[in-house]
Amino acid sequence: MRSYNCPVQDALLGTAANNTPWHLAGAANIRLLLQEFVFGPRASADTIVNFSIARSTNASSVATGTALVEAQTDETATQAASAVGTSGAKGTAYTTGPSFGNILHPVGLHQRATYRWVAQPNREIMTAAVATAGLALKVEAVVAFNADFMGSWDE
Amino acid sequence: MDIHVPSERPALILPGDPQSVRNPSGFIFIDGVQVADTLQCVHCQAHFVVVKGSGRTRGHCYLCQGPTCSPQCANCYPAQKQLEDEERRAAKLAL
Repeated sequence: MRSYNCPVQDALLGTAANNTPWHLAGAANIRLLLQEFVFGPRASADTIVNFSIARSTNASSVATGTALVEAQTDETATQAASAVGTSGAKGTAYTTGPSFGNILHPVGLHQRATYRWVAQPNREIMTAAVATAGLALKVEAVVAFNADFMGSWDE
Repeated sequence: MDIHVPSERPALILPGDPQSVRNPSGFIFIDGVQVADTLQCVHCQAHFVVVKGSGRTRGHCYLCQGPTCSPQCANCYPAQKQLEDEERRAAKLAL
């Protein structure tokens, strides 16, 4: 098993639609296990942000606006089989955005707070080993703001 | 530059008191402070916080011996079985 993490920094999140600043696309024969994420808005407004970790059901056809480069936590690990991408706001950079499946971890958060979730070992959020399966950070912004996100996963 | 100084009360918006659980599946930290435990649904793998007085209906699967997140997940369809079925369907489509 190999561990990776990948941050997206200063992603611009708009108000018009669901934003997907971070999308992890699976691969055939590889199961992804999301074990930790950190979400921290850069905004200082006293308002709410709703975000969730959701399954994406068309991961292989998501055209990510900007490809991100994951970092392996073990120096000897090879490049991740999964692909991770970002878009500041859905519709501006994605040509084909994710289709969302089950919402696995919905959160309502004050915009000044930093949120971190960690799974117990063997309690990670897992995707099937198919190319269409993936996980996405889905953000509904009340007011436009910028945010940082980092997800860690095993495969 | 705005610097946010964490207040004493974490800014998690929950309708009630998040409860500690005996065997948590995950942990939530707000501004570096642990504020809640999560349980994982044995059928859909969702992580949820047990909140006293939330009015949400949770459950327990006696076959999987674990919590379920909602009445929609009441029927026993284990997470591993769901993943294997999805992989089998994908393999069939690829043929």
